[in-house]
Amino acid sequence: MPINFKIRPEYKTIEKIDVLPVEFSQLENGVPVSVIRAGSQDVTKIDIEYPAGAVHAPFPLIASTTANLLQEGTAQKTSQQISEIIDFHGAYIHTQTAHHNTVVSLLCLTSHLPQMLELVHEIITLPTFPQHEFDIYLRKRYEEFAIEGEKVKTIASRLFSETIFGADHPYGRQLRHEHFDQIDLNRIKTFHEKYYKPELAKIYVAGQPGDNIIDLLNRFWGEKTDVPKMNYPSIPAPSPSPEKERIIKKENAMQSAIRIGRPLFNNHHSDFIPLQVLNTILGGHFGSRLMTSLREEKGLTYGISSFIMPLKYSGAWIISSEVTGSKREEAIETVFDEFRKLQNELISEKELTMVKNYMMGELLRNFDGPFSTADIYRNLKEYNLDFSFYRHMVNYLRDVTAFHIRELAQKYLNPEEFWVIVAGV
Amino acid sequence: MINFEKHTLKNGLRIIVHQDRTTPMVAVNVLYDVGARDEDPNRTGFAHLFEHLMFGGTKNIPSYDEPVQHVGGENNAWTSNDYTNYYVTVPSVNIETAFWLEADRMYELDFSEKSLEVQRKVVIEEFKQRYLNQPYGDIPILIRDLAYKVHPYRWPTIGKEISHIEQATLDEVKSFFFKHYAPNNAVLSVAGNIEPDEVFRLAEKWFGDIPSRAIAPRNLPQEPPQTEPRYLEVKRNVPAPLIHMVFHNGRRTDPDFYANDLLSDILSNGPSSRLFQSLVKDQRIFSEVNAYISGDRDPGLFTVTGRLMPGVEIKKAEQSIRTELNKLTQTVPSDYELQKVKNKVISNLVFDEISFLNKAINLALYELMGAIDELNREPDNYQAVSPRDIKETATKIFRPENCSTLYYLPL
Repeated sequence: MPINFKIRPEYKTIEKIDVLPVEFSQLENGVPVSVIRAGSQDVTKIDIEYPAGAVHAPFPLIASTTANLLQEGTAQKTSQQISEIIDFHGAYIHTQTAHHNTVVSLLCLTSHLPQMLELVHEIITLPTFPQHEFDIYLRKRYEEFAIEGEKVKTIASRLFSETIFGADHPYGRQLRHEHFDQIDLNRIKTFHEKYYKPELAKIYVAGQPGDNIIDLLNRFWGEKTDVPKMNYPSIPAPSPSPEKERIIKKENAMQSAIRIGRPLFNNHHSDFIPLQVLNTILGGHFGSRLMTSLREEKGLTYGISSFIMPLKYSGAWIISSEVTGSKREEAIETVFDEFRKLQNELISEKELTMVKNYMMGELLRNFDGPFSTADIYRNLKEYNLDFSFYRHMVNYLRDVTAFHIRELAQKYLNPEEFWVIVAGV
Repeated sequence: MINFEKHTLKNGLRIIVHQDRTTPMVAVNVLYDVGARDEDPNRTGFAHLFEHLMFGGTKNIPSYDEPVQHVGGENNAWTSNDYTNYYVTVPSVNIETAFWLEADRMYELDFSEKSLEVQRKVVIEEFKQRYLNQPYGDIPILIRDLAYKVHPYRWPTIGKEISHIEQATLDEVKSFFFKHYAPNNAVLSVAGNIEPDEVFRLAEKWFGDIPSRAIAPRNLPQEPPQTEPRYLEVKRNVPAPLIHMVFHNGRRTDPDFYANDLLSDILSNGPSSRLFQSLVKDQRIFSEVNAYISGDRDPGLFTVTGRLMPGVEIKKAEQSIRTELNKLTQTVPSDYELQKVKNKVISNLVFDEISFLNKAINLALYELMGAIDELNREPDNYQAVSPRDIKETATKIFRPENCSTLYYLPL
């Protein structure tokens, strides 16, 4: 008997998202600790955030180099001894430097937490920044910089940030060859001294850290030191280039990387959540307008996506793709055609419902488990927001109409307000 | 520890279920026993192109993606030399939609000229984006062709050349489907917030009436032992030279797989590993080194690769790697060093069990390899490896005549 595939199974719409509770406390010196306790494995992830971001340093290379050299030697241990301890415990310690902060992350089996926290504390507070480790690191980093510079997608995204924020703007300035000559150990040590004080930390714990986690953290991070009042440099308004289209030729490239975008605001703006829906329709999921049109109908690219990047004092809306070199203009024109369609035509109920359901499913996925919930929470805290942000999103998703979407497109998707960057042919 | 229940339908479809009540989601994974090794040498890249066509809709359900997104789900797929794998994650209340979609496209596709034409273009763009338009991107193509002379592992999943993809016809697409896509050539695995009995009921309902198909036994030419060292030198527009060495080793299911895996970890897993400490930190010959094994179902490759620091001669770089490999053939590693790499493997096995999707994929892979009962014994399998096993494995693998070396040099 043939199976009847014509009958679509019943399904349920996701109406609400359950968010894991956050246990909030403070160490003896006031350092805030958020614990999200959940998970079936005895594993713990701890993120320790310091205000050691790239915008606080005189030029781009300094903050990330400081972070990456923490593991390369302390007053008591050599780089190799540190590596041996991390590997023997099957743990991972890594650092990530963003515009406004650096996060030192530890992932390990909970049973190894005391030894690993002691080590993390040691590398953060007592690094010696040995000259030979500095030299090795910089030469490796330079190699990576040079290789990245051969990729059309990197060339395009570097030029994009420079174009929409300005080449001297803290969000627009790019790593350059000369920075490798300008950097020295004194700058690293000064930067570390200023931004890695225990009291400046914010700690986020996720997983099953055990009952004594706060005592453990107090032992290492609870110390009171004399931290002067920090003054962080203010971020000026973006100064985008008057040139709306910029092309960097790369010889023998088989594809062109394109970036189409504009400066925007961050998640405090009342249109930020509405724009998340418009962005999802445009290029924020596999079945988006841009994917359907450029990939599934025209075969111009392997993939195209759009995303809204919030920044502490700004934001950007970016469409990114690598397209077949000879059809670059057609690809760009197709993107703008999709803008115009969203401005002129109402989205069908069917498509809007699909996007709403997809976004609710995506929220359910993102809030599944302690690790990704903690990542979301830390990100919200950076913007002085909390989980109510997502409650607003759920409410908006319930109420948004096709008319809202068209109005938003008319306000924010005017092709002449976008910059076009191309690298390749 | 991953608990699971297993059931086989009359048409041969194997079903594995793992219940995980900590997530509101469920992963539905369909793994087909077909990969790039099953391709015609003149139509390489076909299994992967076919994976793209599996999203082109059927007679009954014109769009695959739309219903997935409509129930809050997300889906994707990958192809390797051995497998083609499709997965969907949905809120567990909507699991039936995933069964409906996967059963429908296992039953029959809506083969269309238009869909084939577009996906040929998309895959060619993928070929360029990932292999041809990236610094060092064509290494998989070059090295497989050097290391294998007979076995279909001699081409990568994306294919040997773009023209093979351009020439694929609709008739070939159809015959590939009926040759490889069948309930008796697949494993359905489900992990997430779901009762096993409910999964078995849904599997019977949606997959139970799909006819089993005649699957020809696999009869691949096996690679003869390599008898002399092979070298290839290419010049490309890249900033730094790179050396890429591969040695033939065994199958994923061979008993010495675990020793091979730990051997590669001693060489390069983590900042304390030998190649990193010696060649990157002490001697400063490389800016990056790596060693890993392929773990294929037919005899695979042990790879050692590194990107050179400026001014280092490639012959010297090669010799420095060989010196490190030879140490392992001459001296057993210390108990401490072996325990260190075992600890890392074992904690990684625990980290892997955090994701319900990972668990679903692993269950399907182990079932298809015929090793599902090993899944929860893996920590013991690694613990059982002795320092002597490491030395014996190194001696067996790291022979010059078993090695193919690629010099990848700047213009």
